[in-house]
Amino acid sequence: EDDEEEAYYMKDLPKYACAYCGIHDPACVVYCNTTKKWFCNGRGNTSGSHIVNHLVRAKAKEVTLHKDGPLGEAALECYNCTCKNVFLLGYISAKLDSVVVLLCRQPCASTSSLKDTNWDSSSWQPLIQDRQFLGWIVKVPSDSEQMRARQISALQINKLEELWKEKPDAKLEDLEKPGIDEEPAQVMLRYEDAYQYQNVFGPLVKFEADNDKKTKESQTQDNITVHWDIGLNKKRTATFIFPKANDEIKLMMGDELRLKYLGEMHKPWAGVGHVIKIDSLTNEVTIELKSNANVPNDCTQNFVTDFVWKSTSFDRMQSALKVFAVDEHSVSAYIYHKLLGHEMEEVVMKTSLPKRFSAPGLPELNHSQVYAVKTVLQRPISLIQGPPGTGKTVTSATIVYHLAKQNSHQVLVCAPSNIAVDQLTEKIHKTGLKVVRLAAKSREAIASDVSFLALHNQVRNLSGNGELAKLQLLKDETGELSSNDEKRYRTLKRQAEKELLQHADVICCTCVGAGDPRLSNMNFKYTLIDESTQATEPECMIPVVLGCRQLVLVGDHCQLGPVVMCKKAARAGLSQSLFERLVVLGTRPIRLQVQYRMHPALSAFPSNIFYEGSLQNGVTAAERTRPIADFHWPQPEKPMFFLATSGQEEISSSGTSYLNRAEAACVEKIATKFLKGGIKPDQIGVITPYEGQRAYCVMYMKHSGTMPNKLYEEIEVASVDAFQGREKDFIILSCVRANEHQGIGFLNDPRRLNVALTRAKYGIIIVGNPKVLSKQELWNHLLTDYKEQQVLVEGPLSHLKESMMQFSKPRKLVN
Amino acid sequence: EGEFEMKQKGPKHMTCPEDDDFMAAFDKMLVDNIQQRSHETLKVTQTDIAVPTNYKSQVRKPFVAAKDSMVEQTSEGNSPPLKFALMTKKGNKTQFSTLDLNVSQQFATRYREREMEEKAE
Ligand SMILES: [Zn+2]
Ligand SMILES: [Zn+2]
Ligand SMILES: [Zn+2]
Repeated sequence: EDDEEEAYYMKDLPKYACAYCGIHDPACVVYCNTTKKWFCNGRGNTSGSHIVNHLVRAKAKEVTLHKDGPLGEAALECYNCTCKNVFLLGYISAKLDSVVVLLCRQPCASTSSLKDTNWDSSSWQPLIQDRQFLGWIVKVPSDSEQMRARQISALQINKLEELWKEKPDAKLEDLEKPGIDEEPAQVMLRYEDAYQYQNVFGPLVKFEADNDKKTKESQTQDNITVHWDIGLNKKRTATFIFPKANDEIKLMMGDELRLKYLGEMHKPWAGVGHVIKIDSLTNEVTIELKSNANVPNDCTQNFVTDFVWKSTSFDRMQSALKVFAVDEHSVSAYIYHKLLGHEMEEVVMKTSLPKRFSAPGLPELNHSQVYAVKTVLQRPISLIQGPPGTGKTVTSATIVYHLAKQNSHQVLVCAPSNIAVDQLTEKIHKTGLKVVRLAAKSREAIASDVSFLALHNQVRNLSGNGELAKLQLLKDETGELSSNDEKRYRTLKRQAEKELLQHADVICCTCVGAGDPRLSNMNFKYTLIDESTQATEPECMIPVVLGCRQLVLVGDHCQLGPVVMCKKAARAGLSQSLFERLVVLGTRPIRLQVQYRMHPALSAFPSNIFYEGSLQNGVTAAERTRPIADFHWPQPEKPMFFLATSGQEEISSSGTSYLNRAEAACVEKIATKFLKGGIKPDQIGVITPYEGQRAYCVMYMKHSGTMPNKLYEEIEVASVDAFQGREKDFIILSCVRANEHQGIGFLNDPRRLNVALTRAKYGIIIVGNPKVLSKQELWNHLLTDYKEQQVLVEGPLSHLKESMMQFSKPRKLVN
Repeated sequence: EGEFEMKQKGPKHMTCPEDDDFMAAFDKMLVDNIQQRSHETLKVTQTDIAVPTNYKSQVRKPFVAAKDSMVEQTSEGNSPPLKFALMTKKGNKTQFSTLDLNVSQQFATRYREREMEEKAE
């Protein structure tokens, strides 16, 4: 019967029927210029109208009205500049005539550019309000029309949009067809064998790779203006603005971009280079071209750029999974079974423990760090949990020192991110061990504190290698070598690299870097992976399968986990780290318990909520107290407060829905107060969960702050994720969400809250709407705690007073 | 009778992660677009929007008087419904399209207020 009904509605629908629900009243539909499909202006059961749902998912911005609609054939464009972006369009009305015109939000509708006084520029209103086109532009279908139409859920909309990316002509019915929408197999806790393991993870890595490829390759930027230069190594560099049209794609150092010349001043040219510099403030990037040949460096205009997607990291994960399955020497038998979740008896390894546990060149260890080092050395596999500020890196470096000294065998040290690898490399170097930092070739031009330990620099500094040195000099001077010389140069370089790698005590690289061909013939029995809770399991396996017998995983599963962009893969469990799975399997992590970062008042709440109250303070309140001129904490002993705002997450007219202007204004006032009180800008961090608020805060501070702009520019404003693993003296957290109906988004994740609360050394200020936040259990705890401590305050910064707001009693949290 | 019942209840909003994602994506897209726009260096001449002088005499009146004369049978004290028009350009020509104000009374109200103010002065 249902089928019949469906068939009835879908029978011979006109071309302009809503591609989601089939509604086809000409007054109610709009045409998407990009995808060439029609959609209605009804919400159905979603929170935005169908056309808006579509525009957002397809990242489309221009539409055409139906000629039989309320406005006839009128074009939806700015009256003044003909901008057609519906996200920027709005209308203003004349003061005396009953006329309205469409104007873009910026610059045409701004007061300053509106010359004619007959128009009321303050009356500007966006065309899309509450995620729906205004009814006088596109009629909203009546309730009964919507009820009779095909009912499509947000989930189905998502799937259909995904399908359209591959098959633009697909219909909703196609979703039901087999094979279209297969969910991959879920990760498991235990695996029969490594083949099954590979069969589960292989497809997930593939999904993530496909997703990554799709988003990155869809990024083409045109109208690029290039500034040319020549680098120290005689390589040609190009600098240009790479606008962040879509910040799902984060450009990283070492990424490759293709630059193409489209103008007529030079014959067609395209060249590939990797990113060696990114200025996040101006969006300016610099790439170093791979070849200097035929570069049109006399032209500056008419370039386009796109992303060169590389499968390397995914290929290395797949290869690690395969090696794990087919090569019985890839890991020891014990580790093999342990990783697959098989029941194993505890083993203690026969090792002579060192007399002193602290390593030369590094700080003395505290009791829990000594315990961790001692335990790790005796076990074939161990987990170290390092809550914020507990000296994870020093502990890791100390472990590496002992592993290298005891076994006279090389140690492989990895972490998912280059920053983490560099930090650890630096510490290990201090112990006097011979360290080589292996970096990807594309990152060789990128400077860091440990550049001198990088393999390519060590090769350069190698003495007694006359021929290689000579060729290197020639290459540096001329930029390129003859093909014979180049061949010889490569051979010699490879030999030198091999030599250095084989004689190193420790090799440090990213997890993905462990798949570098230069390590492929080497065998690493001892492996330590730092920040392992931020790596996906297949990523972690890359260093592991190089012969591991003793494995140390360091991390904190109570902080943020690995980033997985493909929702399908994330749903299937790819975002769970190996560390976490081993915890679930019953391996108890050794927890570092003394924190040296936060003022004791700041560590209390995170300790109680996230670490069963086990965090001890290695710093005193006095050591973490810094007076700020003309500024007082509401409770002198506690450098923290929650500033209650009732600022609304903004809708419509002047702003956008997930900025929170009131909060941004508070952030600016606090930052200004800090700066005036003598705090240096680089010691202040502003955390906000949303990119919109981040951008707005940066803009607002510069615009409205009374201190010099340069100071505000030096204040780091970033997402929680960007602050993971780092610290600042003072943190201002802007929560943004203040919407009764929508939950609080990102702040819902306890791990994210943990990270946000544990970045500050000397003081933290949270700005948010307690009423909305308190509906979430964890925030309710936080607010109740702050209230009990009398640091839940409201009012202007100069006259803060305790808030009398009441919350429902929090339920007991179960960890 | 079924239809009668359906008129009673419209479609109900269903909360789900996909819809939350959509709302977040919408917000982001809006901000991204505004951000990008403010970075673009736009060479736009000052906005000068003149309402053609013939609008009042020729176009406005028919809007008020013609067409839905049925609707205009309003009770005494009420002023007749206003007809608003959207002014657009097609090439060099200025065009007017009538707006259906039943769905957006907001600026009509504002317009009336202003008209009152003017009269008061
Ligand atoms: Zn629809
Ligand atoms: Zn404009
Ligand atoms: Zn087994």
